[in-house]
Amino acid sequence: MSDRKEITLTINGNQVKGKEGDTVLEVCRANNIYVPTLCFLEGLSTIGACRLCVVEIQGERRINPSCTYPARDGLVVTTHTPNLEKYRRLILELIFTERNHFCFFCAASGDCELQSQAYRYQMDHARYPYTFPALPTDTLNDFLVIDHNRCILCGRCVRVCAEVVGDHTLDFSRRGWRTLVVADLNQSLGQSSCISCGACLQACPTGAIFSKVSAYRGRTSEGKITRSACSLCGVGCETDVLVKDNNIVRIDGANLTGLKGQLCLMGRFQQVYNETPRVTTPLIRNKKGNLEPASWEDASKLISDKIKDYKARQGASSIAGLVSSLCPSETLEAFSGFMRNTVGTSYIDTLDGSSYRTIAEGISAFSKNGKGLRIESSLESILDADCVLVVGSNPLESHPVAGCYILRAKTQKKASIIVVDSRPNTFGFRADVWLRPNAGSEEALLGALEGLVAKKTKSAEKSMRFVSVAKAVEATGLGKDTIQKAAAMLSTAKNPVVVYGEGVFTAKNPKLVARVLDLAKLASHDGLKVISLKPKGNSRGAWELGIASQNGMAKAKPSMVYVLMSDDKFEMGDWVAPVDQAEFVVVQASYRSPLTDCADVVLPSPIWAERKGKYVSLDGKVGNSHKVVEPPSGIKDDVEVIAKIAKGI
Amino acid sequence: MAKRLSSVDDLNKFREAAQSKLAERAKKIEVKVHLGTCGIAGGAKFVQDAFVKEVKSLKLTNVVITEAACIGPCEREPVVTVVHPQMGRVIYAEVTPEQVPNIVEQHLIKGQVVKEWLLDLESPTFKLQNIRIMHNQDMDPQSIEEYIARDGYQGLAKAVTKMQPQEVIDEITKAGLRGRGGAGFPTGTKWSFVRRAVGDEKFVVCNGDEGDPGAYMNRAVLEGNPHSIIEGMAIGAYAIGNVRRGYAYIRAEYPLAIQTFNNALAQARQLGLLGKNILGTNFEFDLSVFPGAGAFVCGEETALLASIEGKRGNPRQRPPFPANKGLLDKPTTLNNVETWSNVPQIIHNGAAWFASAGSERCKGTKTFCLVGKVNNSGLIEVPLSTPLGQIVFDIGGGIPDGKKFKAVQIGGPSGGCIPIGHLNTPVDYEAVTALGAIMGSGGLIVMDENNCMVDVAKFFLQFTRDESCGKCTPCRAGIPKMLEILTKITQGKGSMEDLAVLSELAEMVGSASLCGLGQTAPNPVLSTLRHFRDEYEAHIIDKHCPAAVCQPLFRAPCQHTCPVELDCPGYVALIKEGKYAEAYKLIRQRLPFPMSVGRVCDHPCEVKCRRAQVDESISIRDLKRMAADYAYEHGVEFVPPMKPRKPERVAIIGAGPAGLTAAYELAREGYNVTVFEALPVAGGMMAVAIPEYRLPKKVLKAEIDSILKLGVELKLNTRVNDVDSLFKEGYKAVFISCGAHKGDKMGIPGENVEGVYDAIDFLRELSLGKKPKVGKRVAVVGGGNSAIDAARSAVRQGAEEVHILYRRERRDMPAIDEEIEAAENEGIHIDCLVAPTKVLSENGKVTGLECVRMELKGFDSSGRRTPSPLSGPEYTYPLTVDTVIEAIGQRPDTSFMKDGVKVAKGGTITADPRTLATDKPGVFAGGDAVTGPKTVIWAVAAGQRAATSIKRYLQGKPLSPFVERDGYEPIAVSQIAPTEEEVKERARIQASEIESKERKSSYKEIVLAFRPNEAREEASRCLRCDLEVGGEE
Repeated sequence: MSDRKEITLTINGNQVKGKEGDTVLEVCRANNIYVPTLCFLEGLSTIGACRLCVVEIQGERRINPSCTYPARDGLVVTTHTPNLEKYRRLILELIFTERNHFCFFCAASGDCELQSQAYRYQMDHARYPYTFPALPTDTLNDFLVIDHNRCILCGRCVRVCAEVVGDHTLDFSRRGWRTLVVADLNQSLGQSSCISCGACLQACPTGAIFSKVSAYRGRTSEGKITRSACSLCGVGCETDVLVKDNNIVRIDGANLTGLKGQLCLMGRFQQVYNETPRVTTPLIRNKKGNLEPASWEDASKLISDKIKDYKARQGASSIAGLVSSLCPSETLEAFSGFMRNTVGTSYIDTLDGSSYRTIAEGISAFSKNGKGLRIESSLESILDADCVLVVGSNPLESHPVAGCYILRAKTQKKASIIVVDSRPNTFGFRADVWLRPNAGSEEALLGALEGLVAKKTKSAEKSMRFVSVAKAVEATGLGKDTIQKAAAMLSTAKNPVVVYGEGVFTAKNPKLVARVLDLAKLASHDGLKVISLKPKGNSRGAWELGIASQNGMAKAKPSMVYVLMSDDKFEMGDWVAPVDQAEFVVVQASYRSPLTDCADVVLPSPIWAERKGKYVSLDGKVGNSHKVVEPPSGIKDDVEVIAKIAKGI
Repeated sequence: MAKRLSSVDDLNKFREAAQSKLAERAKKIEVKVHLGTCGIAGGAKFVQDAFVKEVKSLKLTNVVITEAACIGPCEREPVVTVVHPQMGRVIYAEVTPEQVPNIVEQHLIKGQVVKEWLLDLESPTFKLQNIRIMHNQDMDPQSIEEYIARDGYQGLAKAVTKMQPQEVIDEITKAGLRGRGGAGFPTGTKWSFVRRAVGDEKFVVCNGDEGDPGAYMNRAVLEGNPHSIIEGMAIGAYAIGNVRRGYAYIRAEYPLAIQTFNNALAQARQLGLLGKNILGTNFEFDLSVFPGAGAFVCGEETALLASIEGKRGNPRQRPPFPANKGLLDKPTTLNNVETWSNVPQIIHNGAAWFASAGSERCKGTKTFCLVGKVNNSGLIEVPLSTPLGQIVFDIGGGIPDGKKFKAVQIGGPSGGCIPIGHLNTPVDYEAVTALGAIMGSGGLIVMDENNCMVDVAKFFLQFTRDESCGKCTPCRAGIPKMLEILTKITQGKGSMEDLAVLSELAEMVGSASLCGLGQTAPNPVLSTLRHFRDEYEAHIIDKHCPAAVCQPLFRAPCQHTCPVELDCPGYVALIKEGKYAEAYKLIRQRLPFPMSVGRVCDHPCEVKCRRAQVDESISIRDLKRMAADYAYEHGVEFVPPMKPRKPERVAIIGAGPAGLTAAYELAREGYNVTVFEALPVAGGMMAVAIPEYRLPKKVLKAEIDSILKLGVELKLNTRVNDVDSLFKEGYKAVFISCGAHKGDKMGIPGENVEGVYDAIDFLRELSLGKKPKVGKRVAVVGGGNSAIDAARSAVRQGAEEVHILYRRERRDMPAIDEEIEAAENEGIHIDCLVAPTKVLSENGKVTGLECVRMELKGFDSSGRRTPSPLSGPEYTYPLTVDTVIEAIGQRPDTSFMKDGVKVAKGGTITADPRTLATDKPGVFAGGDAVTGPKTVIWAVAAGQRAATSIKRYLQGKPLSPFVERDGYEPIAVSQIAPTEEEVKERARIQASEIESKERKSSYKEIVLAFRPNEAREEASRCLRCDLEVGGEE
């Protein structure tokens, strides 16, 4: 960007600097010259629709919107004249009388760009007859409401949906005064292709799109915004969390139109209003077999004692530690240090450890150079892809922002999308080719694709063993044409990216991972572009700490298990069996779950918002999550708790 | 399959072959059926079938039946051209299948043209046109052979083989071709922008998205001459360079155009005129049709391009301009159908040929759709800068039914109107824009007095509101708001502040909108506000729609148009039921002179009568007279409600209809009224100007007496010398209604000799029983009612030959039509286009008039053509007469107004038109003294207005524009709508007249009242508009 030529303009009589390629509005903003806007949103295409930013440009017959007008050297611009200000006010009056803008019961009141423009222009009344249209309100989405009565048709939602989210669910229907924002072919949002990421909500300058979980819970001015990072899925989105009275009101993308700014329904909505019952005090199973509240002292002493007891009686290896990869790196480190050093056991694993081992083995089978997870590329590489192969994953469900990147590549780079998954996968409907092989035949399919791609691109390495198309057809149950079509897409792509995920991990077949990597290598022209969609927000952080390196739990038959769940959700997994068989189970968790119900001691744990810490994203970038609210009284930080128990041993 | 033409030689050989084929055909009789969309809609296919059948059954081997496109006279479709090898070409209009056997028999077999069905090709409608773009409309549009036979593709051949691309652009620039889509941007300049733009791929696009209501010029060319567009685009592609593809964006509502165009494309490809190596050169170009879904906004270039790209047809902000970033972000030139169609001819015939038509700034010809209230509606082609009046009145044949022209809407919904005062405007880009309209693509909608301009603005805003894309706020939200305000105004709910808001909003929408649609959408509002502000004010202040269009403002158009708002539907309905006395009473509630007005009214009510749309208007005036005469003969008493006496005295100057009406109303209110009259009789012009054969003195006297009976004091022979003295005498208010009794002078030499009269003096003397001397040969100068009255009176005074000399045409005469006809029936000569230049006299006595023939030239501000004397001795002639009566105008004698009441230049008194207040407190003025000569009913209305104002003034209330006519008991009127039988078409009933022998010798009343059965029959024709439930609002 810095290599753009500097230009000089005259704005309102002053010489100001800009860069070639800027619009007049960009130059104004860069020079602190305020020009009102409504349809403009930085990072989106400019359309010059609202006409608030109109300016006078010397030599132009008409007034022009500054948001679209290219700045050039020597341009003479006037942004404020009595006439322009009159027009702006008239336009505001038009907007206010066009639909039903009643600020006093609007969810956006106080956070509304239209309202603040009206204040700026002292719009005490409108002189036009009010139209009072009776427009519908779409409430069928779980999180979002579109109230068309408050819509000013600026198109920011439409553009953010198309350009940033890549989904292009929203667009305009009809025309003129009848124009309405609609989803798909006029579906209700809840029944449309909408992925409920909420980018439209954040883009909306008024209260036309509002969030069911945030509405009326507080205005920006009433609370405090803290920059944080979402720790849910490993994409690592930066967030701005608005907190009022120790309650989270709203979560926004820190940079909506920048990278990872759109967030997803998990990061934006699901965490704001969570009704899952919390563990608020330590619990100890009493003689009657019921869990009853206990003091921190009693609970931690009991745990310390039990550890000492088992260590003395059965040795340190009778104790195992399990930790969720949702925990920040600091907690993970503390826990692994505690288990390895204080307890002295080597039986330690993350809850998603088997996924790691599948990936790691696959990578070492593919390449012995020891780069491990570092052979993977960044998520942003998807945006430049012209072909995306998705294996065993529905990114829009597991890592929605990564899924959006694929959609953006599809709409903006005309990328073709191939989905390989034997499971039901709705992402297949968005693919150009959806290969759904018989369960277990994925390897054969990938082998056949390798063969076809290698034939077209370059001679294969000797180590590779391709599968003939005929064999693949037999094994997968797919048609020959379909396989060939997918292979053709891969081999003609200049910049293909391969994404794989939980479908590959659950198969626990490292060879499959190796096949994925081989195929990516064959198809690539400049370096391998592979991304694994790791299960949890800090999986990569946990794995890099070596917590999941050994296949501990498979061999272990522990008598005591210490599970640090934190705010992870209980899911059945490989790790459940040893827990089930253990004599004494400690669960440290934020939420009540079947696991806490069967534990002997339960310790409360803070949730993401109540702690701070580092997270490593799935492509290896470190993010900082911040404490935005105080935990309920009695809940202590996980690291502190572990330290206390350690002290007792 | 035809062979590819791989060189210019090939093309020329092909042309020769085609020409000889056509020459062969020309030896037979050719019957061309014009099958444009308009023709087909008019039933031309049936006509074609009928010809085929007839020719086949009669086994006529020397007749060929062919097809052609629309040639323009859309109103008169189906149109059939017959080209006879010996008799030449004639065109039949409004041909029905039933007429076909006759045409075949008479014309094709017997060789006799059926004259009554012909289009008059010698009429100005055709003579004043200059057919260039439409020069191929009479050939078969499906045949590339015919196109090539007429030098088609010669322009392309010349361009690609003999010219450098830049030379082509230079030629277009030299020709001065400007964009025919409406903006008039120089085409050559546009092409050079695109030629200079950087890009290895460029596009040419034809804008055929014609969407203006009432405009279909492009459709006709697309259907009739598709190859000219293809050839033009190919030439453009060659000139611009790097163009290999083009698109013709044609709206899908034009199926025939799309079919024809696609057929033309296929033929051109087959002959290698499109595709690779065109005519053996390296030039490659092809194009395809893109059917548009019919959004008006897609006529906007950026929206059109988005539409071709498959996106929502929304415009985008420029810059960047399509010349740099157009279709698929490549440099693109986009021109209108007509622009492209001009190109081949320019290249083939040269720039000089093109520039030979039109004006300095605007060269070439332009097609227009002349529609609306015009006799010859249809498609026309004229040189640019042709005066508007010539288009409307000469080519268009003027306004149907003798209605008065009001304005032309030019440029469709984005344009504006040009009012009657600007008929000399040359129709070109600059002149039209200067008047606040735009050229647009060529729609001309003619409007007459029955069009309400507020309603017209509303109509166009409804269109642009619905066609706005909705992207930018000013257009999307501003147009509906303007429309809401206009609707409010047409409902009578508007305020003057609304006008201010409206014009401010219109200005903003025009300035701040994103694309041409929004920028021009306010034009109908702005231009009607500019030229017809009085109509807006009438709606707002008077709650009156002058054209009687805005339904919420009135019950029935007749009543709304009547200056005193007589309940015409009411009394007509009562007459229908035989309740003549009730009808009379209903009339009397608003009119103290029903018998007089029933005889002499110019009945504006009948002009707006909706029955005229079925057959003829109702004889409202004659019905009124019938009821009034009936009441008079049967002694029906009408006793107006009287209010208690009040002490104030009011003076009225002049006992004409205005003064007497005011006296009547004020007396009813209880005031003491004195009417001062300078003449020895009361009645004003009714008494001293209207001859007895129209208004018997007995009738007038009876009506005046009934007014005096209310206690009004009448002082005859009393001239008031100054107003102030009246106040000194104790009068609290004065109403000046002195009329306009002073005749204008011709101002020619010799005027002051014996035998030259002023019409007003002449008529006055006659009615006062003096006998002005009338010779044997009389010349009356003028064309108004006074002229007719004087002429007819002269006949009765014994004149043997009477000439009315009028300087314009007969249709321009301001006199009532019936009167002119009656004069002619009495043998009076009406010499039009003549003006006297000198009074010839001997011994101080008139011996004749020197006259000069006149011609009509440009239009004056009243929309009439200006008469101007023809120069040359052959145009001057003497007219031997012994009496000359000047009837060229009247003005009030306001010499007594020496005390501060403002008088205008023409001698009329200046008073507020709504309250009649002069600038002197307590002094009001109305009638002819204020307005100049008008008819009785207007004077009555002024009297009522004055009475209301004086009453309010005396009561200390603010003056109001609304006339108060309260205190009357309602009279029940039947609410039954007419039956189907009654609505059926039938002529209006004429009142009977006395024998014409009797007329010329006496002043006996000529027109007789309806007999009761006639009256009931005539009344039963009334459609009862007053019972209709209002329209959408």
